[in-house]
Amino acid sequence: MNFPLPQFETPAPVALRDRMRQRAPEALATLLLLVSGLALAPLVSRGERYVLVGVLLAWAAAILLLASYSRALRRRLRAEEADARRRADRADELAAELNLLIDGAVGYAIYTVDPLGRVSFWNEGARRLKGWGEEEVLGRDMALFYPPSAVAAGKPRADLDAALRDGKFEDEDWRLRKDGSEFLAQVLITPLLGPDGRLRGFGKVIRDITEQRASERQATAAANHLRSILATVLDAMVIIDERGNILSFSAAAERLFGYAEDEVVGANVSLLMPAGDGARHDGYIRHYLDTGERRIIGTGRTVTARRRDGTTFPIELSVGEAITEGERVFTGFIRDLSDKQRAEQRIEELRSGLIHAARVSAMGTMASTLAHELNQPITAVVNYVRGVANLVEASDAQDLPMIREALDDTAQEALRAGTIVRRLREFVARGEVEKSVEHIPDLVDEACKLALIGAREKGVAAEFRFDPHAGPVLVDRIQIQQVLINLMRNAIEAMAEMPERRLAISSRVESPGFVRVTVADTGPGVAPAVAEDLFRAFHSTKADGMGLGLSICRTIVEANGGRIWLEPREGGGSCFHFTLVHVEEGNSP
Amino acid sequence: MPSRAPRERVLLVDSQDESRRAVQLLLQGCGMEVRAFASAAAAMAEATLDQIRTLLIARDLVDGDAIHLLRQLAQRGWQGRAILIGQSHAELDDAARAAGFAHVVKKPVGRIELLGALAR
Ligand SMILES: Nc1ncnc2c1ncn2[C@@H]1O[C@H](COP(=O)(O)OP(=O)(O)OP(=O)(O)O)[C@@H](O)[C@H]1O
Ligand SMILES: [Mg+2]
Repeated sequence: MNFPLPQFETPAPVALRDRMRQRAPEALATLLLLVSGLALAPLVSRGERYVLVGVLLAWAAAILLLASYSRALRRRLRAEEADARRRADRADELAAELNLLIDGAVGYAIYTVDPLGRVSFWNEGARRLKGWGEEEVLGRDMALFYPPSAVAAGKPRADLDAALRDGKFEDEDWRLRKDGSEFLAQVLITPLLGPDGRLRGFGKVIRDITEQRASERQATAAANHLRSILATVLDAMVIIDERGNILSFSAAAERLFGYAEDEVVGANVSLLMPAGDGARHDGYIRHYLDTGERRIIGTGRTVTARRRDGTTFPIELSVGEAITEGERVFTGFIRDLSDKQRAEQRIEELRSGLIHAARVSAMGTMASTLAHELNQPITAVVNYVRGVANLVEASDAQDLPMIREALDDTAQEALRAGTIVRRLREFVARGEVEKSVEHIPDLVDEACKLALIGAREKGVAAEFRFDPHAGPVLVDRIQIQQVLINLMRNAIEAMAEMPERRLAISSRVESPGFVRVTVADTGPGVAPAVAEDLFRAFHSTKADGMGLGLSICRTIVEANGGRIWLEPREGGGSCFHFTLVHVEEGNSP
Repeated sequence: MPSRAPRERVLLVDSQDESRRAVQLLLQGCGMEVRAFASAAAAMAEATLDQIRTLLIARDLVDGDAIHLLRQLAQRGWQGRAILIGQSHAELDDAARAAGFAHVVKKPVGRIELLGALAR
């Protein structure tokens, strides 16, 4: 700050009369001297007269000289006095002006501390900014203005030391108000040195910059930040306003749709949809704005999108809503499903391959076990039957007891074969049975995860109706899920050629102690004549079917204490029902 | 300086310096006026409580917790909406709801999440 130096005026010329009055005493003294000289003249000799005149003249000259010297002296003194007074006035004026300036500096707290950091001067701005009055802070340690964590870290002293070391200290840091609230401060600390170079204290200028920094950050967040987020999000993202106009278009969206951001910003989002959908979209937004009813916001769904070249592709769209300062925007995250669908197809291939392999290996084990175990009884049966045939041919009545015995043994061996098969079946079914109390909706839910892969893309709509009274069941969870999976996959496969493809899974209370689960489809149905055959192994009408699914279902359901059967569905299609053992909650064994 | 309409005033209480300061800058950046405090005691001494419609309080404070503070402020006659700042969304439990917290935002508080909670 540069203050103009005070100007001292030159004294005004003194008027002639004043000058005459000022000089009156000396003139009077000279006159008196001359008069007394004249009076003395007759008394002295002629020679002495010359001496007298000389002495008198010398006296007069001395008086005049002395008088003018003293006058000059007085004048100087007076001038100096006036000058000092003027200087003092001017200094007061300056101090007042400076105070006004300091206090008037809106938003600035200006104060000083002594070399130990105790407040020695406190301006009005400091009171306004920090809340303490002058009388409250004078003499107190400036650590008062620092947050506790900064005090603990020794920051107040360190700031002063830094100012002393570097000649000044600038910082942006948090400070406290009297009421304990915090603000972000821009701080300038300057050491105040006396003319002798001794440290007299520190001057501090503080400004509240919370607002400024906050809005800078906001601006950054709103523009660059958003842009960088958009550039890095993996999924394509499109932001639209309430009218459906595109506000921003991420880098991934550019790649996905083939448009550059500049080309689409401002355009209606229907640009990215097939013709019919685009027209409907405006309606959706309007509907939401009018009624607040959400159809897609907050959820995701599969829809069709259109590239710049007009080709369409499936996407998963999740829409969110954000309101910033009264402005409502919708954000759409888009995931390209063409890749995902390909991936799912691959999973599906792998999965069915896996199931196939598992079954083949299970069947392989079972077949070799069967072959091995059944070989003996069957060979025996064959031998007996051959022997009996020979005996019958001979038609000797004596051989009859032997024939009867042989037939008994044949029956015995056949029964044994049956036992082997049953035992094998029990082993297959019970080998892994681990019963637990399960809730049907949970079982179905998990099974659907596997069974319904790719179902939506095949146009199959799945619906669920669970009877709340069809309480928990006691089952082997994995096995029953296998049943559900087999039934659902059969149903989906059966509906492949049908115009209507609806899969319904429901539960209800059957006879006391049982719960019935039904998997119904709108497929071609099954002729009643072959209905029972379906549950036998190796019965299949499919080119690549093994005909094992339903037979495994039956084994499992029966091993779990239920039964399984088929009924035609009203209005076409089939219903596969099976029952499970109902348990009271908390009654698990 | 452009003249402004009276701005929404928010009371922010969080004993963690980093987190509180970040939220304060966020809120002020969105045009709100923020009264930020590090302790429940300091917040209780707030003189302009009647001008504050929104509270943002961290679950754990150096000298108490959010639920207790909200109850005390309510006893002083405060009315408005209260948002909890927590480590997880699960912190908006029955006790917090009963005390009057309507939403929860998770630390570190993101801009969009915060705006979402304020917009509701
Ligand atoms: N929901 C259904 N609608 C019409 N026919 C069905 C249905 N479920 C099964 N079938 C018929 O029953 C046959 C036997 O079904 P099963 O599941 O046992 O074997 P698969 O499906 O042919 O082969 P796999 O299950 O080994 O892949 C099927 O080939 C099919 O002809
Ligand atoms: Mg099958």
